[in-house]
Amino acid sequence: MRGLFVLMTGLFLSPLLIQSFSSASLSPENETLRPMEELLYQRAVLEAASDTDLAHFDQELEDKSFDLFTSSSYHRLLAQRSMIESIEHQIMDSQDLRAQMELSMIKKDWKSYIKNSNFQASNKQLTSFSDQVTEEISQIQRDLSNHLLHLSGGSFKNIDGNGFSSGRWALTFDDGPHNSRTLAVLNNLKTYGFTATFFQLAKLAKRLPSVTQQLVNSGMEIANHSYSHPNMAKLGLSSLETQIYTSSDVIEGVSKRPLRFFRLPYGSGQTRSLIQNLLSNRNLIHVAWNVDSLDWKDRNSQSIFNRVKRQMARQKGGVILFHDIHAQSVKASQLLMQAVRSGEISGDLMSVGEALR
Amino acid sequence: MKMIKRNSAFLVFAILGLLFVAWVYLGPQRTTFSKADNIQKINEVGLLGTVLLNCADSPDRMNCPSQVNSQSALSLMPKIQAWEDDLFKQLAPSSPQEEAKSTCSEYCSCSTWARYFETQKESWVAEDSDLLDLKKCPSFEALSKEKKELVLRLLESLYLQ
Ligand SMILES: [Zn+2]
Repeated sequence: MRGLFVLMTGLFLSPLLIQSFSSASLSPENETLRPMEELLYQRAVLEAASDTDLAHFDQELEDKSFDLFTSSSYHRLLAQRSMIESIEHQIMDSQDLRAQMELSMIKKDWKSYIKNSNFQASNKQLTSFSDQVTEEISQIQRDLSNHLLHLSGGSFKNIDGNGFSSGRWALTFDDGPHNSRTLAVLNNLKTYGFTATFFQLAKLAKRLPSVTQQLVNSGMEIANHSYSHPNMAKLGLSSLETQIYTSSDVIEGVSKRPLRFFRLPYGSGQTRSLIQNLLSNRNLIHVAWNVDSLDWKDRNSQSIFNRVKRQMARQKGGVILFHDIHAQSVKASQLLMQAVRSGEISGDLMSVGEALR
Repeated sequence: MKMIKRNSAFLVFAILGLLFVAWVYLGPQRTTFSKADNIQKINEVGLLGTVLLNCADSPDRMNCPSQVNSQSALSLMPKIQAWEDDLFKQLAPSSPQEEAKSTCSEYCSCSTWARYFETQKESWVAEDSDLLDLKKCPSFEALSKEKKELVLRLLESLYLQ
């Protein structure tokens, strides 16, 4: 039975396989069949193939990196469904009552139908049938990509700060809110008179709404850094929707401000068109960075500050990345604020929104 | 009487069966093995991160393995962070303070452990202060032959991720 399954799937994948399959077990000359018989046989074969593809699809679903729009078993299932529908219409529209009865038999038990079928497909017939399926699959892939284009509200926008005019530095803090460190950063920002953008995780903002609200009330900008900080390059569609759409709803609910910016965790997945479409669909601009403090790895605030200063000296302006959840980050970002205020580093620190103005 | 005997025999059998299943799934050997593996991997990725961080900080490429420069090392760091986070998720919620303390200074991975325990909301003070990672493993060249090979192997798999 397994062998049959493999053959059935192979039927849709490779006309070459069909060549050997048909020359081995099908008689090449049998062109005098009732047209309905060929349709019924195709219907049974499609049922077999979609069983196999459904099993593959279920298996793929287990994989974290599953992506509906690129899954080939999903494409095949869609192609099979549309062909099944068209065949069934032809049979039901015909006056052939016997064929209609046989159709209902196939739906119950395609295996015995195929076993007992008188139909012997010719090489040519099967090849053209397989071509039809292939054409159907590519049509579905075209439709899907058109559908995705329709889905997106505009084109994907990404900022990394490299185009900023001289001395404009967007100061950004990721992975918060944190119940004490975010507030310590806020305190420093107020002391030195700067604003900044906080890329927050929705699951934390939900837990610590008062921290987010204090940031907003002090004129800070809130942005989205996903729901729970997964590596989004590896996620399927429904998880991506949670990480982008649900998180946006949560953060907007807490901050009471519309979101403009999103930053992918680890900056990972920026080139995935599915992610780009979901972001632009929600009118979110992706914000990368061009100065990385590496404050998650380095525990020494002085060397973090030196690293930032060195990178700032190499470019005119840009986006600086800190994390407001580490003790060393609070101190290192304070050293930066101090250095800019005193003129040791020229330019100004501000939120992303202000830097774009 | 016979019924009771048979029932209690069945009960004993069922309990033994449950114990066997529990032993297979939660058995100490199995968990210790994967936990030790995980701790070792965190040390190794922590070492790679420290080497790359020192490389990113040296514009002259002096502290770098030959296939990276300071700019590419900088752009690899988010991948290290993602890798560590992944390993953290696998290890959580266990708290291998002792194992981490006894191995982190050898791998210059104390800062990585500090971050792990931070995510677990636990305090962590390594005897060899975790501030010393960068000074203890100042450059790729300063590593032992084994550690160099390890770093190169890990670097290769990082590129594949
Ligand atoms: Zn992050």
